[in-house]
This record gives sequence, C-alpha cells and structure tokens, in this order.
Amino acid sequence: MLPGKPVFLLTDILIFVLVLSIVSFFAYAMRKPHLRQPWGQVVRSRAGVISMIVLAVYVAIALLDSLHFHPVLENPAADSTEVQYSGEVISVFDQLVSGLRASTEKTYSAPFSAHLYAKETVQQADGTRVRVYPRLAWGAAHLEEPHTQKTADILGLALTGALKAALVWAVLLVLWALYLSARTARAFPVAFRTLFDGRSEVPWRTVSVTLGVVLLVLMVGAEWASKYHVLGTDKVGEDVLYQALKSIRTGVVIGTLTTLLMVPFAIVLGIMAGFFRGWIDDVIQYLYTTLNSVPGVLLIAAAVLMLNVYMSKHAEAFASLTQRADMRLLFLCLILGLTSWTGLCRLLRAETLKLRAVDFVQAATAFGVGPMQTIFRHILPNVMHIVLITLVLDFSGLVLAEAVLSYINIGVDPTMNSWGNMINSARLEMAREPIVWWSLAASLFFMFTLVLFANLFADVVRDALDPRVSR
Amino acid sequence: MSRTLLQVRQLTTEFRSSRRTLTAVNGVSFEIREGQTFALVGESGSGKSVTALSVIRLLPEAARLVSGSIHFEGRDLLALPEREMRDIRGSGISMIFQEPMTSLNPVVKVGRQITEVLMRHQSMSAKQARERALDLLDAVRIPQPSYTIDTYAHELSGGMKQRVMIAIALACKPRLLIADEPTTALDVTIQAQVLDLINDLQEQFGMAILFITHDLAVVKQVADHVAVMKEGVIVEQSSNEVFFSAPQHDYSWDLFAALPAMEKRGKPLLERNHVSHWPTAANATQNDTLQVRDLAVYFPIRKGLFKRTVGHVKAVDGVSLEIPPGKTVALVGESGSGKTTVGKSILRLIQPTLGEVTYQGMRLHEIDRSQLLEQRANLQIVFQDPYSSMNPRMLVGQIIEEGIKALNVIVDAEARRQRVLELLEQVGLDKDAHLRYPHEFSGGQRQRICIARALAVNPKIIICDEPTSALDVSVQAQILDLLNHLQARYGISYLFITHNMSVVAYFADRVAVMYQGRIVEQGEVEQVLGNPQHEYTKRLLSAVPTLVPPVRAA
Amino acid sequence: MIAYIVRRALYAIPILIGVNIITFLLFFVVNTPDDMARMFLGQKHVTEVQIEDWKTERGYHNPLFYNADAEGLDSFKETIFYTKSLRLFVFDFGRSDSGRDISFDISQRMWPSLAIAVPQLLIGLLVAITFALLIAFFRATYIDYWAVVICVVLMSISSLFYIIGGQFVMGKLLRVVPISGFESGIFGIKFLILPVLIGVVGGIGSSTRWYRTIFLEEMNKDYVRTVRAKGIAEQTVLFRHVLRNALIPILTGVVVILPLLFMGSLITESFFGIPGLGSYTIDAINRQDFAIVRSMVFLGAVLYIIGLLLTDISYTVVDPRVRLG
Repeated sequence: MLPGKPVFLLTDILIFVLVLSIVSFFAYAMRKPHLRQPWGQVVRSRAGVISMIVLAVYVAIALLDSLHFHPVLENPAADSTEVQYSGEVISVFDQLVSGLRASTEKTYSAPFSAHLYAKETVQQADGTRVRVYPRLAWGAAHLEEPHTQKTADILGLALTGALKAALVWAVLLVLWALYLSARTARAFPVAFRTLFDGRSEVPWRTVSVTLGVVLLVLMVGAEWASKYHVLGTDKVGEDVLYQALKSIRTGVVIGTLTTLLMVPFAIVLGIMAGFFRGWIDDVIQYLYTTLNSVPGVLLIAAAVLMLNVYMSKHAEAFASLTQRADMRLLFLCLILGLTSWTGLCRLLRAETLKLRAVDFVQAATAFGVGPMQTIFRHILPNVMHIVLITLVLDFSGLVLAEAVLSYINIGVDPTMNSWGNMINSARLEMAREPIVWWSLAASLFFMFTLVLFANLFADVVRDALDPRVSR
Repeated sequence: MSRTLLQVRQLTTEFRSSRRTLTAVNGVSFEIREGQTFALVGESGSGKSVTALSVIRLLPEAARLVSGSIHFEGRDLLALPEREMRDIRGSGISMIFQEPMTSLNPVVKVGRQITEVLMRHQSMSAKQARERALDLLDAVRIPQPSYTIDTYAHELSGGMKQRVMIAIALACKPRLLIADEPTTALDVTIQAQVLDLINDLQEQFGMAILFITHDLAVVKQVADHVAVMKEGVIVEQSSNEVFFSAPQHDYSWDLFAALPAMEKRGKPLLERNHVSHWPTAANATQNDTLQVRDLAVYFPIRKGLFKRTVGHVKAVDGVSLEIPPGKTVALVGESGSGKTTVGKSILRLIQPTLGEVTYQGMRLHEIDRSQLLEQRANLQIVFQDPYSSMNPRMLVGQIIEEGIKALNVIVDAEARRQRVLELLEQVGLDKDAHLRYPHEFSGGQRQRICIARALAVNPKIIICDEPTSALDVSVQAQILDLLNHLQARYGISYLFITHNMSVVAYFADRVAVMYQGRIVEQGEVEQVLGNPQHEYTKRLLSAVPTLVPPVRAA
Repeated sequence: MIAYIVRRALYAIPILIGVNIITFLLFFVVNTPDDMARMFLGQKHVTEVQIEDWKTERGYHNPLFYNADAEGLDSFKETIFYTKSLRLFVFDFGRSDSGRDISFDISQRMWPSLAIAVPQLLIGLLVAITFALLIAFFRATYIDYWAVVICVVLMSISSLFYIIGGQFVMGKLLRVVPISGFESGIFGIKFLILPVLIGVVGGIGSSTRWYRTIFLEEMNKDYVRTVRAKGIAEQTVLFRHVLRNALIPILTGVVVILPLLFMGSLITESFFGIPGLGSYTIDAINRQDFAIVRSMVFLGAVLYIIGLLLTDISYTVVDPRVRLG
C-alpha cells in the first residue's frame, strides 16, 4: 500500500485512534434516537453542513499527512540488491503533492511570479554581467515570454480546473441523487431536484453549492500549482502553499489531541468530585485550583523549556528529526491539556452535583444500585454533551494558541511546519521593500478558514446539544 | 348593567417554529364588563395564559397573533402602535403572574419597582411616588411598609412577593387586572389571604379582573363569570351560579368528575376505571407495619473562621408515625414543613440524625448493606416531578428493569422482559412502551411508568411524594384511580405526601399534619378533617376553598 | 465577612505550596542545578569547582527536598525547596540567576504593563457592552444575525494578525503612531495608542458575542415581562433592568483577571517593545532565567488567588442576594 517502509509516529496513532472513536461513536449514536436527534439538528442547519464540508477537507489532508513512511531510495547503492529505504520520513500527502515539495527555488518569489524576488548578477552569452531578476527554476518555467503569456496561461489553467471540477461535481451529484432516489423510493428526476430546490429537510442545495465551491477551489488550485508557485516561495525557496498545507496537520493535531488527552482526567476527576463529595472533592478541588493558579503561559513555557533541556541531553533517544519534532508536538498537546482540563473538570463536577440530587439518581439509590453503576448508567451519559461541546469549542482556541506559542518560541518544534512558525519567520520580512507578504497572508488565511468554520460548527453543535439553549 | 370593558373577538394565536405551527388559541371570543371578575379555566396547554398575554400584547417572540380583534374601552388594541400600547400597559390593563419568585427584578429594590410604574404613568416626582408606594404596600397588607420598601425581592416570602406584585399592578388603578394563576405557587393558607386581598382591592378600586386558573374551587370563590378552555377553544361560558349547578358542556362535567372529594371515597373518580368496590387487603400482621419513632433530620449551620457548627436547621424534628399494611397514610403540610425529608429519610436517601424506623422487626438505619438491599425491595418511592424522575438516556424497559436487576428479583432475562410487559399493562400503558424513551410520554404516562418501576420489585410500601401535584386534575384522577386499584389488588401501603386537602379527603385512611418539622395532629381522615383539634389544622382547613361538585341528572 | 476573607487567605497557603512544588518539580527534577550552572557558565569545560561556586552563590548547593546530612527539622529546612519557597512567601524574590534584584525589576516594570492593560480592559469592556446592548436591542432581526456573524469572523482571526496588520497599517502606511517603544509620562501616550487599540479590536468579537448571550438570557426572564407589563419602554427595560442584572456575571468575570493585569501581556509587550512584566517574563524564558520565571509563577498564583477572593467579594457588592458566610 505504502511506497516504502511505514513509520508510526505517536501522534499518527493517536489521531487515528481519535478518528476511529469518533466514527464508532456516531455508529452507536445513530442507533439511539435521543443521541441521533441533536445531530440531526446539526445536519439540518446550513451553517452546520457548510462547516462540516470545509472541515472535512482539512481533516482529510491532516489524515493523509498522518500516514508516514520511509520512501524507497531511488538510486540505491550499487552493491545492494535489497530495497533500500531513505532515512527521511515522508507522508502519503507528501507523495501526492511531490511536485510542490520538490519545486524549490533559490529564495523568495512572489505568488504566480516567473522571477526571483532578489536581483542577481548573471553572466550573459556575450560575457557581460548584468543585474537582473532571474527566471525561476520551476515557477512558470514552461513559458517563453512570461510578460505576455502569463495572464492567458493562468486563465487557461483556471478554466481547465473549473471544467474538471464541474465534471467531478456533476458525477458526485448524479451518484448522490441515485442513492437518494433508491432510499426514498422516488423517481430520479425528483430526487435530483431536491438537491437544488432548497425545501428539503437536510439543506441539500447548500450541500451541493458548497461542494461545488470546494471542488472548484481544489481543482483550480491544483491546476495552478502544477505550473506556478501559487502562494510564492519563502526565504529558502520552498513553496509556501506546500508549507501552509503541511501546517494543517499540526493545527488539527493540536486542536484535537489536546482535548482528547485531557478529557479522561477531567471526566474521572470531575465526576468523582461531584459524586463522592467529602474529602475526595476537597482533594480534587485543591488539585485544580492549584493548577489553575499557575499562569498558563508560564506553565507551558517552563514545561517546554524543560523539554528542550531534556531533549538536548538525550538526543540519542530519537531516531530522526521527524520523531523528535513529533515528540515535542505530543508533549505540547499534553501540557496544553494539563492547563485546560480544569475548566471541563469544574463544569463536570457542578453538573454531577446537580445530577446526584435529581430524582432518577435517587430512584436508583432506592433500588440499591451501587455507586459505580450509578455513575456509568445515570451520570456519565447525562454529562457527555458537556464533554462534546467542550471538545468542539476548544478546538479553535487551541489552533490559535499554537500560533502564539510558536511565536514566543515555546510552541512546536522549529523544524515542523506550522502556521505559527510560518508567521514567526515571515514577520521578520515585513520590513523588506517591496514587502514580502505572501507567507504571512497564506498562513493567516489558512488558519482563519479552519478556525472560522470550526467556530461556526461549534456554535451549531452547542445549540443542538446544550439543553439550556432554548429552541 | 355595567358597560363592556374588554371585548375579544375570534382571537387566534399561533406558535411558529421552523418545523411546525401550533395553534395555541383558536378563535376565542369573550367580553368582560366593568367591575366583573371573569375566570378563564382550563388545564395546562389549553391556551388560557396565551389568551391573556395576547390581550396585553406581551406574547413571547415565537408567538404570532394571527387574527381576531381586541377592544378595550372601545379602542382596538391590535391596531395601536406599540408606543400607545405601552401607555395602556400598567395603567389601563395590568397583570400579575404565576411565579412571584422570579417575577420581580432581583437587584432592584421593591420600592423602586413600584415607583417606576407610578412615575411612568402618573408623572409623579420620585418623592410623591414613594409616598404613594408606601400607601400601596399598606393597602396590600404588608406589615411594615417603610421597611419593606427598601428591601430586595429575595428578602421576602412568596406571599409577600405576590403582594408586592399586586401593589405594582394596582398602582395606577387599572380598569382591568389580568391575574395569571396568581396563587398557584403559594401555600394554601397564603392563597386564601391573597385571594381575600384581591377581592377587597377589587371592591375598593372597582376594577374588572381576568382571572386565569386551573382550580375550580378558586373559580367558584372569586368569579362572576366562567369560561372553560380546552385545546385553544372556549367550550363553555356561563355565570358562576349556572356553571357550578348545571354546567352545559361534557368537558366541564369531566372536570368536576375528576375532582377528588370526601364524598367520593371508595369509588373510582373516572367512569372507565369502574370497579364495584375496593376489596380490603388480607392477612397482614402487626410486623408488617412500618414504625417511625422520633425521627429527626438536622442540617448543621456552619459559621465563622473554621466553619464550626453553630446550630441546626431542624428540617424534621421528632416525627413518629405508623404505616399499617394495606392502608394509605397521608402526610400533609405546606412547603418547607419537612414532609418530603421524612419520606426520603425513611428510605435512607437522607440519613436521619435521630430516631428509628422499624419494619419487619428490623431497624432500617442500623442494618448492614445486604439486609438493606432486601428491605429496598419492600420500600419504594414515586417522585413528584415526572420529568426528572427518569433517566432521559434510558429506554422505558430498562428503567423499569433497573430495580429488578439491581435487587436480583428475577435473574432470567426473558422472564424479566415478561415482567416488564406485565407491569406496563398493569399501569395501563401499551406493551411497546418499553422500547421507547421517557420524553415520548406525557406527564401522566410518565408517572405511570414511575409507578411501574416502583411496583417492579414487589414492594409492600410505596412512598408517594406529591405524585399528582404536577399533573392536571383529570390526569390526577387517573393516577389516584390506578393507585387505589393497585392497593386493592396487592395490599400495598402508601405514605402519601401531599399539600392537597381534597386528595387527602378522598384517598387516605389516616392523615398526619406536619408543621415546621413536627407532626401537630394525626388520626383517621374523617376525624381529623371533620373535627380538627390543633390550631394549625383548623387554619389549614379553613383556608382550603371548598367546592361541592354538581350532580348530573341521570 | 472578615472570617470569610481570613479563611480564604489561609486556604491560599496550601495552594501556594502546591504551586511551588509544581514549579520545583519542573525546574529541578528535569534540569538539575548542575545543568543550570553549566548552561550559565557557558563553557564546555567547566570545572567542578566553578559549578560548586556558582551553586553556592545562588543557594543551589543544598539537596532539593530532603537533606540527609542535616539533623532533625533541619533536614527539611536546609534544602533548596525550603529556602527558596520560604522567601517567596514574604515576597522576597531574591536575585535573578544573572544577578539582578527581581523585586526591584518587578516594581519598575509593572507600571508600563498597567499602562497598557488597564485602558485596554476598560475600553474593551465599554465597547463590547455597548455593542452587545445594541445587538440585544435588535435581537431576532437581520442586524442581530449579521452582528453575530461578524463577531464569529472577528474571533476567528489570530491575534497575531491584529498586531502585525495593525502595526503595518497604522504605523507604516499611515504613520500616525509609532510602531513600538515606550516612554513614561504624558508624552508616552502616543506609544500606548496602538497596543491598546489592537488589544481592544482583537478582543471585541468574542466578548461582544459572550455579553450578547448574557443579555439575551436575561431578557427571557420572568421579571422582564413584569417590567414590560408596567408599560415601560424597551430602552428603559434594557438599561435599568436587564443591564443591571447582566452586569453581575460580566463584572465578576472581569474582577478575577483584575489582579493579573499587573503581569501584563506577553505577546503585546514583546511586539510593541514595552518594558513591562510581560516582556520581562519572555526575556527570562528566552534566557532560561529560572529565578525570574519562578518568581513570576508565584506572583501570578498569588494574584490569581486574590482575583478569586475579589470575585467573591464583588458578588456581595453587586448582587444583593449573595452573602458570604
């Protein structure tokens, strides 16, 4: 399956565990009407479906980028007949966009540019030397006369992309309409019309349009990226689009794994404090008040500093740079989780205290149901909505936090692609004339899109799950 | 004959949500004359409150007035711009609401809340308004007006708050007062005082009242004219005398029939539950009598630097009673009297501070866990609120089964399922109910499920903690019939905790009256209700509005 | 009330001990005093003597938590943990690892931090409450809908964007204010405008949306219906009744962060070159000066606990229903 020897990074494993548990949760929830009902509400809201489609694209990229392997060496040493693997670790996503990954220039170049940002002295055929903006090695290299041909070429590529997108879109819609007509026993034309008439319960028209727009952006982007540096290149000439796409995984991992890692603690301690009260409650309250008292950024800073020291002392413990960066990412998730579990813990404790006094828990006590069974049967299912709401609400905050932490050098490893690192390095170039804005803009835009749709999604989910929000 | 004050014609009000439209009020017409008390009676969801809110144009945002007209003193209220409507609110028409606890602004002094309306409509200065507010507080019989005017709502009791609400409503001498269940949240003795007060003030101010209630006895006491609402429609309108002697509509008859009363003892309330007589339980021994001796539950009050206990709230203070087999013992009292705490501490849901509970020769508060489990099957409980007493995440079948499983009553899974189906049938529900969730059922049906859950472990005694007080009278009648039926069939005893005297009169064999944590009087129902000895019992009984239901000619 | 405050103050002691234990575990278990000395002395070939000297000079020569060489109680007292944290409790922060007096630095640097943080908080609060009230007034209309959308968009933008964009537009393109720097006194105001403005804009989305929810929740309460039934105009309902109730959660939410304003903001201060406690902390982090980081952690914890206490007290002030016992 993989064109090489698989490597399992810890965050890879965890993120797939997470995906698996989400999928199995939904499989379970679909069979329970009271669990299905609120999610039905999510699917019926327009903001819900739009954000789900956009987030799905982001998550798909993150997942593809989470299947790592050592690629087969192209030019193995002559004396070996065995397949040899490179020491480098790449992902399936890297393989898919290998064109982008390989297409490095010397240094900066602007988006869609055919020339380098900086002048160079070039020796001409007649021996004279001139200072010119040299042509790029890869971007727009297929054009003879970039000045005259570029605009037409870009438009042509966009048209090709749009046509491809339209084709894929049409096929998808027809397939979906076929499925709908089979399921609802309606004629195909009727089913096809429901995708656009805007009167269906699930807003199919919104789904179709969003899908179309997303396909258009992806296809046109892909066409352009095959010939140009769509978002320019950075200081060492790496494609900025590639960096921004690679950063998706970092953002998604931080946004999800952090909450995932802290949720078990918050659930166990929060419910225990609320349910058993007495000294257990005192101890747990002491624990989270103490942790909360330490200013979060300082705790993170201190922990990351300590990790740095530890890693430089035990450099031999890490097989590769990738693994080292991955450990640091996981550690960052852990420490971010440590600073954020207290909020959820407190919410769960308060809710458990409330539930304990509710009649159905008292009824269970009157039947002699033991504390553990009461917790699993009566408390836990009735606080899960709080956990889910926290999970989606925290996501966007964590993605934003990553950028800020990386800026003060206590975020992810500097060698790892992340929007924070991109901003951090691009910030220094703001003073240049003409201004190098593309790296900054790209990372901010990619981050903004993810966070915006995550926020919209969180709103819809909260409205659907929170019993206190009146409908 | 006095003039017409308010005329409502073909009023229709709808609630719209994204998914469906619900017609809450459907073509309602009525007239209120000056100085008249017009009662709008109906069960929950009949549209009576929405009618009132439509008149004063304070509907919630989801509601829309679809059609009809409302004329007040000849002006078409629905045609008025909002600004002019505001001039009418509080001065021409004012309103008091059901929940005095939440109807006052908690962070504004009550005096300010009264003067606000005076300054708004009568352009008084702050000083004049304060003088007038003091007069008003005096008029609504608040003991120390000059003190109360500077308090916050939370410092006042429920009855006092409702008096403040009345003072606000009457401040500008409105021609029409809308009273939306003004006494429902109050204890019965307070209710009597508030009704009295409204009556006196009506004479004094000469206003008309639109009185909304579900309580027929209150209607009988206050109303000149009665309208009965059902599912958004007024089914019957007549004068007080006609309505309470010869109601016209079948639904009105049903309402009267569902009322529990002393006269109906031993007979089912609803025709379809008819059984010729209730058999009495047989072969029970003295040992099966539950004995409560000197039960006390104290909650410590902690104060000071180290949270030392400086005193106790004596929620229950030395209660003794007996529950004989196959009998119903009623525990009556007003809110805060400690009656629920007694019920829960008998079951060890609350640990009592002092005293003992003996059943089948065992002291329930001293036995170990395994013995306690055994006794848990004998003693069960049904709660007041049918909405919070079932886990919303469990199927009805699982809910009923929980006790059977926990107490190992039936080990075999298939036998257990059969038992659940049998129980559902016994409480009058469809068998397929066991595969559904609690939210799919109405309040009355939920209460049946709760009874089935309690029955599942074959208890000898069920503690019923106000099981019908959250329900409409017709549903209450069904539940009381069901409980009677089960008692006759299985010889179960009930400790029936309630504040409703007519339920006691109809349903109980013995009654214990609780007041401030103590039982002040107990005995046979006929004896206590017919010839009360204790001062408090007398006060309680005289406060209950009485109603002799009309008899339908054959 | 007094008893309550005293009890809370006593409860703070075990929490602060806990905080100290956490920081000590982080700093000394992973990174021993020997490592610190090596890093500070900077050379690869440092002699043992040099290390010992460095440690003794800064009081790192004792064992961490338990001194096996000492007698009795001294085996706990003659440790780094005891000597270092006891001093913290009397707010004697001692000298930084590079030899500066931390207490003096803090007393100097808290003013610039406050000069940014206080106006930022007050203006932000005022603007957000005003917007939220307006949105609540137009609730369930298109104005409400689009205002919420704008809030979500604003809160989805990274704070780094606000800072970088703000510096670029205001400082570089328009050249109205200096991009960074600080000056005390009245002429220093021009340096404060940009960071305060950016702080306010950056926070406006989430706080407006949050306050709107509070206002709407409050407007659905029964007492609002009572006020309307009196014939009071909608603006008066909002300002006299709803606002007063909604301010309770808003103000108490603000009070808890009040003491922490002293600490300044790490990001803002380092971007704008403001010599406050935030940039002090960042510098210390980057220089790996643990004495300063430890002091700041302790200070932060104390301020947080004071914030919690102030929150409780402020409840009794703004909410007549609350009494401390």
